[in-house]
Amino acid sequence: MRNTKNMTEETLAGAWNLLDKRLSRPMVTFLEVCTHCGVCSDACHLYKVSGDPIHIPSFKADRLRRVYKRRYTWLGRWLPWLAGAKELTDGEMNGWVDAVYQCTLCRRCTINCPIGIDNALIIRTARTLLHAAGKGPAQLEEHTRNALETGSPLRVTSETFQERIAWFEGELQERLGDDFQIPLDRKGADMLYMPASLELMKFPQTVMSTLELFHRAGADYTLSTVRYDVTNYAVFNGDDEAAREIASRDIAEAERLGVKKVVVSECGHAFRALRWEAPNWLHKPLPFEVVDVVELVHHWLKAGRLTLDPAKNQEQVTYHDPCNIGRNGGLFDEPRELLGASVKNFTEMTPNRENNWCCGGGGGMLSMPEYRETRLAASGMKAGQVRATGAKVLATACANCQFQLNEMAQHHGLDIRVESITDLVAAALTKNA
Amino acid sequence: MPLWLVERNVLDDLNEAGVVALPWVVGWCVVLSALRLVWVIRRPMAADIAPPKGSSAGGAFYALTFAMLPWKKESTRHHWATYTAGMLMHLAVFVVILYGGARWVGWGQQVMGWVVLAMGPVGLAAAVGLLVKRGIHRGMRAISSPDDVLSNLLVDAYLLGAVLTAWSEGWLPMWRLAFLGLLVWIPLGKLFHMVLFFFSRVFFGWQFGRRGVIRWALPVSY
Repeated sequence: MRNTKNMTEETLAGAWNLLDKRLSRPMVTFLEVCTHCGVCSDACHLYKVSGDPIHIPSFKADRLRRVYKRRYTWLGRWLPWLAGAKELTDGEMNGWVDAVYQCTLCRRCTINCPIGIDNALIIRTARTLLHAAGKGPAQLEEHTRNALETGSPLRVTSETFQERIAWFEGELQERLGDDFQIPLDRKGADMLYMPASLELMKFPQTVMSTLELFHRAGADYTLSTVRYDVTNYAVFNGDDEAAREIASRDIAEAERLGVKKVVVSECGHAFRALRWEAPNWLHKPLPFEVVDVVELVHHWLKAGRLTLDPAKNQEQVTYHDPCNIGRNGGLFDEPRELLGASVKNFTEMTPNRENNWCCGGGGGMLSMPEYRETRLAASGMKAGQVRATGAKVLATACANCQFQLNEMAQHHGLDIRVESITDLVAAALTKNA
Repeated sequence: MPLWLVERNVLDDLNEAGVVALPWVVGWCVVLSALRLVWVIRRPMAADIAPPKGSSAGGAFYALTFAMLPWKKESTRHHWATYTAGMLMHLAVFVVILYGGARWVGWGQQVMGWVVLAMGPVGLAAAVGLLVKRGIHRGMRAISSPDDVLSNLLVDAYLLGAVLTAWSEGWLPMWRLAFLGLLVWIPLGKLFHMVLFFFSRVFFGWQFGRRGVIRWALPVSY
């Protein structure tokens, strides 16, 4: 539900203060340099399916750009109507909400902007201001609060987590032998594996597959009963303090356990948050390496620690690049090489890699029920891509994408099965691995 | 040249006013542009602390060079007409600047005049086409501000003035006036992208290069 409560003078001053702090050199450049050429429009899946100008990336970025101009540019101060500049007011910010939250922050527009403007950076900053003004979408805000209060946006408690782990252990013992155990809170382990609550509750098979791969590769690892959910929804709602706090807790736990590596589960935004953003939020390098589980499994494959038989996955498979893993994380080759070794028939969808269409569920869209119709409509671009491949299995490397892609398949009548990469890799394991 | 302009000495007056104003307007443009640029440069450059996966410098170089090829981006392939019009307009502006330079130093003026007569109308038509698109396309109207329109008109006037001057020297005062308008507007409005464009491409390439998103290597395919 949208919050349109009036801001106090103090809140308004706070929003200005926040904006001022976020005006780095790249940010100011991106705010000033847009020529409104409109070339970014077709790069956005939301605009592509709707034709609604509210979804043009530069329109979204202009919500913030025009108040920036009013305060920070000569023209905006002297002749605001000529610059298209606006005062930062309660009403103005209310008008931002639909534009800036109906964005998956996928950065496809950035890749396609002739000037290279990072619209997602601007839009996330607009969200920061909206959050500070108490205007963020209720459920997205709630998920962030939940993460701070309970350690999980879905309020998965440590007890629930440990029940799940016991269940996984039992299941895996049937496949791997009675002596198989899932290590918890083991200090001095080489790596800490952090799953996501969405996987724990909706895609438990992915966690089990990952644990099987850890076991087969002979990894020295542990899970934590304190920090068992790697998701960080504050990335989406623009709450910088919460994002920093959630990341800090993960880092503190990894330090307490003394691990050399944190393995982020198949959760795109969590990988981006911990791998790429957290060191900047905390202004210091992390004392351990952060890797995505796909990177790690790829490394094991290359090192000969896993033996795979692609004949075990005979169906035609295609791959969806999660935006936070690929376009924002640079992991393009690793998942493809893993799939190349795990499945018999792999077909690329077009376009792919940095030009891949977003599934439509990123940027917190899954946590904003008010935009469900927009989200499902936006998945039409992806549905068209998948349909064109003729694939029966749609692989991806992000639980958030997996959830959205399942809904997409249902909504657009696609006869496909959505699988995580680790599931496909685990299914291709040979017994002598 | 319209007779009424000649008879009323309007062009002479404009010529004199333009000549007197030129150094002041150039000064305005240089000083304000420098101030605006300094303001941007003095903003903090947030450190990117996460260990790199790719090359920042390589990404920035790529962003400024090969990434600008029209077939490299899906958007420019799809919007080829808009992109081509933009390129032609910018090329014509560049040619007209060279023409102005040639006139100033007194070398190559005639040759550049021919180039302007050939390129100028094409660039002008492209610029007007972009303006028309801005006016009739629903999406373009939604993202446009008066500054977008004014900036386009100033460029149109500058190109038109140059073409007319290359055709007949009597139009020089008009061209000079258009040039003055352009100089006044550069540090204020969106025309300043001519400076910030390069910064933006570098920032884009730097980050995406660092993350290993844009690379030189050929993709792996199966």
